[in-house]
Amino acid sequence: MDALDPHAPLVSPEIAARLARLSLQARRMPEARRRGRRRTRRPGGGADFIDTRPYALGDDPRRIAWPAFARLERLLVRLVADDAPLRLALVVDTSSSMGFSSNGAPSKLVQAARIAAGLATVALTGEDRVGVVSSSSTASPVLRASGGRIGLGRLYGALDALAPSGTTDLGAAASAASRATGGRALCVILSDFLDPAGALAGARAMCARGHEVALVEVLDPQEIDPPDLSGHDLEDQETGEIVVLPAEGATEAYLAALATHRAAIDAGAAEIGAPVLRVSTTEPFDSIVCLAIRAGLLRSQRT
Amino acid sequence: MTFAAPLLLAGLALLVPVLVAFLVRRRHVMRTVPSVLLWRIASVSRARSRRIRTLTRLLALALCLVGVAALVLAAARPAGLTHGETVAIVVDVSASMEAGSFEEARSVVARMLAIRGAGDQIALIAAGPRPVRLAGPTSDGAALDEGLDRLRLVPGGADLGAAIDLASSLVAGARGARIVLVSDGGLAAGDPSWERRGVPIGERRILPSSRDNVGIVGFATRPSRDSAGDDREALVSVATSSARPRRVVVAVSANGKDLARRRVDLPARGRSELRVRLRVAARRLTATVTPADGVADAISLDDEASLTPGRSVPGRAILVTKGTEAEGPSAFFAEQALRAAGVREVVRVAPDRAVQIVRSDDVVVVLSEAPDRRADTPTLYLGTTAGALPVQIAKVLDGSAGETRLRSIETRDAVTRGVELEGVTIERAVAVDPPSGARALVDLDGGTVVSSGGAGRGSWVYIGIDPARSDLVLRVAFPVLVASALQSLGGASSVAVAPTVPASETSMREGQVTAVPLPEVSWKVPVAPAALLGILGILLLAAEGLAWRKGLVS
Repeated sequence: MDALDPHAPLVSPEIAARLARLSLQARRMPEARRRGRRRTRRPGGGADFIDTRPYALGDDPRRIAWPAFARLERLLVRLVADDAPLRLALVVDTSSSMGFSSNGAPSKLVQAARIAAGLATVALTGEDRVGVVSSSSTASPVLRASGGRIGLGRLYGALDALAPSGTTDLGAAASAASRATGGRALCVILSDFLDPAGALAGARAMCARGHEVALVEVLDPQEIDPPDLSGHDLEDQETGEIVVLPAEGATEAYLAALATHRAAIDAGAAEIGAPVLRVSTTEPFDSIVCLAIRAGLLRSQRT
Repeated sequence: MTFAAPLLLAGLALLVPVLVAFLVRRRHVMRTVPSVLLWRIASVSRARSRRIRTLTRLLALALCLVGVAALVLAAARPAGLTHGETVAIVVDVSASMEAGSFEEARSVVARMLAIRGAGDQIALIAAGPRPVRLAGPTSDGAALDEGLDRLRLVPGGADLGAAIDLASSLVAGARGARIVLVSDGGLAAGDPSWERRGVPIGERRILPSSRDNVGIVGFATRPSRDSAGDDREALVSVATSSARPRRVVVAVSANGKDLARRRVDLPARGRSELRVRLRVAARRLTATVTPADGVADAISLDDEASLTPGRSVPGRAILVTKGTEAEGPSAFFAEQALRAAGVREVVRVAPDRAVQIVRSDDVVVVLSEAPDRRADTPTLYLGTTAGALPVQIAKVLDGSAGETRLRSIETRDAVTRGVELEGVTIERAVAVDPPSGARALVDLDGGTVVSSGGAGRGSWVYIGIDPARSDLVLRVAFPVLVASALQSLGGASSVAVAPTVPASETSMREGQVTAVPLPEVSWKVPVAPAALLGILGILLLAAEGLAWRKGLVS
């Protein structure tokens, strides 16, 4: 897949095959350390035996351990572990600024959708649950995807249909992420984090709700290494705000501000224990996977 | 609208380069970026959107144009709406204007001066007891402002008739002549028929904020009528303009020390009098009145009155002598005694000319012969036997007959107090019959020889001991007697009256309205239009500069 082709499919079959060998890694959720279905100590409808306890009125008669009754002449009930999949919430910033692209490169939103599709592929391949939240000031629609090819196809379609609109509002995405997953989840926020309300507002809100958070910063190459715009008037794609730059020194001031901004994100992410991935819209997918593995978001499946 | 310097209006041409500078200013290249969040730190100006930036720029342009225009108009000095009028402004400065009207009157005049036309000639007249021209007619603003600064209240009434006469004489015959009277409408002196003067008169009436006033309308001292000594009494007359009874405290003080302090009840719109016995020789007496009922006092100018009692020794004495050789020693000793008593000037005059040269503050000293008619002034008679006398001569006493031996002397009287007549050799004396009301002070065996009487300017002292036929003039008693007589006569002649605010002002009575009422000057800003425009222009351009500096405008 050509990373610079804006019209390329989100995840090609080759990449999907390679992603099947990966699994999500949640640092604070032990169930995410194994591939596939996760066991919990919660008694439920699984197959793995955990323990027995005396029969009580109302227990399912099918769970009575008859061999034990034969030996002990006591009615005991078998306790089995419940099957609990990992919940993955993909929060994709769909504000207007994410629609920016330069020099024919895919927009930030397209790149974010690709990364989200890749992560969803990893999750759904491992029979985990995935929810997608598109976050902007105009709306935060939620898509819950089930496993299998059908669910994956629907999720690709939804990600492909995302369009930039409104302003950044990551804070509002926190509750939407909870609705998408139905419980504690691994929340991956894909955004440029150019949120006037604070780049980590959404991450902190999600962390406060018990989610584990990972941050993926997607920027256009012109945002990372801008040309000399001194003496220009700049119009904000998202808000329409206009700033007038001085005749010289604007780029240096911008780069200093970007470094300060990123340092603030790193510090905030460290506070909430969130890994940070920084990618540009021209970053190849393999490189992104390597970055994700290095950041501890993905891991290779050895078994 | 007229302008004092209309040529400077050409400065409005500056608006063109300002407009051009806005239109051709360097246009920046517009670039769209995902977010200006990080660019703000480097920006020189910001706007919420293109529309707001356009509006801001238009507003900045408008402010700049208005600011420049205001400065140009200020430089051209807009002068007002009138053309070449000659106006005499007569301001009532009587005491009643103090009741909340004077400062407003001053501001009204200031506004009238501020909106005057460029060619207007203004005269400013203060209408007090006597009209005073403060300025003009002139168009010189500095002179008019100086005149306005000299506008002061006076503790008296207003002769508006005389002030209008003065104003008429100043503006009559001039183009657009008129008189503006600024007054509280109080009762005023002078002929109120102003329309006869041939100059249109308008009145701007400023009503007092309060008509509750108490004040002193009369303050005088005079010799005490029921006392034989040199005691005096002060008379204080207090009045109120209030429509309800008032209670006040009246105090009389001498040289800063309270002599009396009384509560006085005043009837509604009435007056009351107060008598205070004075037992000290005060150099300066002050009477004050203060409300004691908690009600405010509208005028303070009439709350105090001061006077200095008349001199007890006259400055000039008219020595009436025939100038004969026989009278020579008597005249000499009499003159010496008068000078020793403090008289600065002694004028010798014959009896037939005395009345013509006597002034009201003189004292007359008559030797042997008095004038045919009495002068209306205190008089000391020394052995006088002829002319118009206040006493009836009883007989001439001869020393050889033993009639001139001292029988009694009134030592408590102010005239004879401290006079020692024991041992005085008297060869001849004139005994008199004191008239009713007069006092017999010294009696010899043959009759009364020293007497005093009369009141005020008609007071007199008669000494019947002949100075030429006794050794009295050689004794210490003589200058003492003369000095005491002069003291008594001088004090008796001085009914001192303090200058007080006229009762018409204290009572705040309204006078007749005979002038055309003028509408209020609608312009309320207390600065001149040129200064206002200048300030406005400077503020606008300063705001413009600040907006550019802060980056609010690009």
